[in-house]
Parts: sequence; structure tokens; C-alpha cells
Amino acid sequence: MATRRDPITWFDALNVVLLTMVAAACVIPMIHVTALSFSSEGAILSGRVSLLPVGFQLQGYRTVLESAAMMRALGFTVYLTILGTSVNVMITALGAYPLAKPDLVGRRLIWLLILFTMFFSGGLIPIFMVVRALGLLDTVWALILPGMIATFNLILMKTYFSGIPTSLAESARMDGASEIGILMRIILPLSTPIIATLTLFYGVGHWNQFFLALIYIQDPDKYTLQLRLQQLITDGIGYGPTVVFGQADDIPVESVKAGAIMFATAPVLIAFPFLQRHFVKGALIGSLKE
Amino acid sequence: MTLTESRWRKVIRDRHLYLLLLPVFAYYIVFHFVPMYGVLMAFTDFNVFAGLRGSPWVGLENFRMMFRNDDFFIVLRNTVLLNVISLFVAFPAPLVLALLLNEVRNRRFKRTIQGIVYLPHFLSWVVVSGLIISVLSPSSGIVNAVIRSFGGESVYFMTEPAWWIAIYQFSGVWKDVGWGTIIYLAALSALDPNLYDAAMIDGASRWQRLKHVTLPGITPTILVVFLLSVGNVMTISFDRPFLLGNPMVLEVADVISTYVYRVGLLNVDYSYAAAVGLFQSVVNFVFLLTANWLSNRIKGQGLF
Repeated sequence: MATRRDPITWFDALNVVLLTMVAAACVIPMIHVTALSFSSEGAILSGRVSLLPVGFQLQGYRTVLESAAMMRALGFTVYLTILGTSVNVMITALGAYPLAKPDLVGRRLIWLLILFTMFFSGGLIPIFMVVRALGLLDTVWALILPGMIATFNLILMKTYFSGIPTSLAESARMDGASEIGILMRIILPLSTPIIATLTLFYGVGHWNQFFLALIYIQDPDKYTLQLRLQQLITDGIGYGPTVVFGQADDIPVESVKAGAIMFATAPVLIAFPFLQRHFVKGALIGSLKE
Repeated sequence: MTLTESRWRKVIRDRHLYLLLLPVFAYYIVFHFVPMYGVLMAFTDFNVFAGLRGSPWVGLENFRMMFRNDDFFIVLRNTVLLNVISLFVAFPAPLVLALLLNEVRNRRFKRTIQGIVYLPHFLSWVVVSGLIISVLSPSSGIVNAVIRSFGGESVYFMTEPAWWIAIYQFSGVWKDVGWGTIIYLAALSALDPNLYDAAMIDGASRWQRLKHVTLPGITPTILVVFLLSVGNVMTISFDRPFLLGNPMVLEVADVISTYVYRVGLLNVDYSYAAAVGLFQSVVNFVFLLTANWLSNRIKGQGLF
């Protein structure tokens, strides 16, 4: 680490240039695809679009927004994200609170078994059989229950709870508060940073859900946005737009694809700056504990 | 005697806490431990309607079939190859980026860069592969536009196997290099400032401080990240190879997860696919235990 006493060298200049290039490499693909989404089909196909739109048009976005299939996928994904994230955060808190209590009998064994699941898995097919046997196929619960608790997130929350002084819970217990009451009224209000972090992690997971929808969902009414997007941009050669939009004869395919990518990404891009300071704090809690 | 009594008294005292844990137990049992039992289907000729007990036991037949199948060895080779390359590319990249960020003098510049490089982690693989395919498109992509402007010819990045492997590696770095720095930056900020002061007094240069204070200080963190990647040597999550892949590069892009999906869920050969999955889990676990054991012997520290 550089201190004030260190003279500024060529390395400092090179470092700034290098890091600026890394950051540029992170945003250029997004700027390029945004430019494509506003550009005319002719300009895109002749390779004239780089970082600014050429032949400005809004037909790409209009096609996406007017598509019943895309709108249904959007509606279902919003529903999945809200419902799923609520369940995830609630159940993770229910697990983290008792397990953060140092003298809970059996805590070590329970924790060991939970950690074991991080390193050994029955695999895709046996899990699929469980989901199938429970009758969850083609329901929103197939996308929520198999990943109800992410063990890594459980570790983060348990670590956070362990840092809250036990005296607070003790005095509430003296006053006759129930355990669930203590969790709801004392622990959770003190835990907004970790709740925000886990809401972001779980929420992004649902918003980006592709794989589970691919394997568990047949009903097109329950396709997630990412599944629709994948059909549109990578499924087969040229069939995607027909699958999503019904007929694709007069559709500017390239700008629609770019528009759909940005449409599915926009919520993440908008929410990101607001949530950023939380997740950095939250992720640090976990790693510092190591 | 009294000990067990007091344990029981504690259990009774905390009965409401165990009640809170019930949904958590239910989740881990149903979606983790039942599938670990269900993987026994790999030793049967599984019939969905008969269930695990009703299906005929065939012993190691599915594994025998697996080791006689050329497709299996191709996906095994691809999985290991892509992961080993990642160990040399995607594993050191966040460490280098974290060290570079750590040398930045201007705090605001550092925070801005951090904010930007975290972002791609939150995009889905569908979006990332869409972005990459667009950017690298031979006709409309910006990369080939640059190549052409220097007089070169368009490169078909996504359909030439060697290029595809490079793009696969690059896409992983692009998405997660920033995210991966968090754990190292946390470890760096936890280092004792007194060590640096002492090194300064001894006249250590910035390079010498990096070598003798910083790197030894974060070695435990590096080791943890390394051991976790070794424990995933057989695992490549489905989304990345599936979404970046295409029929032209299947010979290098088909990995265990995409193979299990295709054979198990599309061709409904359940017991064979479960056998492949079990092989994957067991090899991962053996690698993790071995690497951890070696690390404990050599460095005196490990994951457990």
C-alpha cells in the first residue's frame, strides 16, 4: 500500500491507466448493446454502430414492450422475485437466529451437516426427482423451494447476528418476550444492512433465473424473463423471434435482441447504485470472519 | 448424569428456538439429504413410476456404461480442461486487481473503479452471453469493427474452438473479477498497519512491502479461495457453457452439467445421468479433501 511518504512513481500513473481500462472494459459491452438497441437495422447489419446509435429508432423497444410473451414473462418474473425473495430472507433469518446462539444444544452437529451440503450434492437428477415427486413441476415453487436457503447467505446472516450483543435479547426474554418476538422486534430491526444485502443477493438470483425455469417449467405463462430472452437471442439460428413474437417478418431482429437484453438488465442497472454500499458491507462481514 | 440433565434442561428451555429451525431442517432434509439418498438410483435401472425401491438394482452397470462411453470422456476432458485453465486465469485475476486497487492513492478514484467492476457480477449469464455474442459478432460487433479498421479480417470468435475457449475464460473474468476482489480487499484492510510502519522504518520499498508484508498477510485468504476452486474441479455451472456454446464448438463446450441435462432430462436416461452426477460429486469431494489435507500438512492451515 502506498503512503504519503512514498514518492509518486511511474507505477502510480500506469496503475491509474490500467484500472481505467479495466473499468472501461466492464461498461463498453453495455454501451455498445445500448447503442445497437437504438440503431436502425441497416446500420447494425453493416457494422457501423459502435458506442453511439446510428439511424436512431425506437421500434426495437416498441416491439419488446408490445410483445404479450415478453410482458407476461416480466409479470411472472416480478412476482417470482418478490415472493421468492421474501421467503428466502425470512427462512434464512429463522435459521440464522437460533444457530447464532452459542449454547444451543446440537449447534455444532447441525452446522456441520449444513456445511457438508456445500461440498457434497446428490446432483441434478435426484433433486429433479424430489421436485417432481412433490408435485412442484410447472409451479412458481419449483423456482423457490429448491434454493430456499443459500448456505453462504445463511453464514453471512448468522455471523451478523452473532455480533449483536446478547444482553438485548436477554433483557427482552426477562420481560417475557417469545423467541419469535425477539427475532422480529429486536434482532431484525438491528440488522438492516445484512437484510439489504441478502435481499439483493436473493433478489438478483430470482430476477436472473434461467436454469431452474428451463428444467422445471413447461407452461409458457410461467417462463421467466431470462428464459424468454434466451429463446430470443441464442435459441437456434433465427427461430428465436418467431418463438417469442409469433411472426417475425417485419421485425428489426438485431435491434429487438439488443433492446430485449437492455430491457431485462435495466432494473439491475437502476437498483445497483442504491444497493451497492450495502452489499459491500454485507459481503465484508462474511469474509472478515474467516 | 447431571451433565445430560442440564443438556436436556437447555433443550427444553430453547424449545422455541428449535421450533424456528423446523423449516430450515425441512429444507435441508428435503432438498439436500433426500437427494443424497436418492442418488442410489445410479445403481438401479430407474423407473419413475416404480420409484427407487421398485426399480431393479443393477449394481455398477451404469458406471460401467459411463466408462465405456466416448461422449463421457469428452465432457470429462472439457470440464477439467476449462477448469484447469481457469485456475491459471480466473483464479489469479481478482488477486491482481485487488492488489492494484490497494495501491491506488486517491480514495474516490478507487471507490469509483470498484463500483464499476462489481456490476457485471449481477448480470445473468443469458445477458452476459448476449452481450458477448453481440460485441464479438463478425458482422455487427464492435471488436471486429476495430479489427477491420486496422486492416484485419473479421474473426469468428464464437465458432472456432480455440477462440471459444479463450472467450469462455474471458467471459468469466469479465463477469466476476471485480466481485472476486471483495474477499481480498477485506483481508487487505484487516492487515495490521503497524507492520507497514515497521517495514517503512526498516527502509522497505513499496515492492518489498508487497512481497514481505502484504502477500504473506493475505496468504490464508488466497489459500481458502484456491482450495474451494480445487474442490470444484469437476463442476462447471450449467449456464455459462450452455449459453455461450453452439453446435459448432460442442467438441470443447460440452461439459458435465450440460451432458447430465441432455442425457438425463432431455433423453430421460435418469439412472445413467444420476451416475454421471454422482461421479462428479465424489471426485469433487475427494479433490477437496486431498487438497485440504495437503494444505494442512504443508502450510499448517486449510479449510477444516
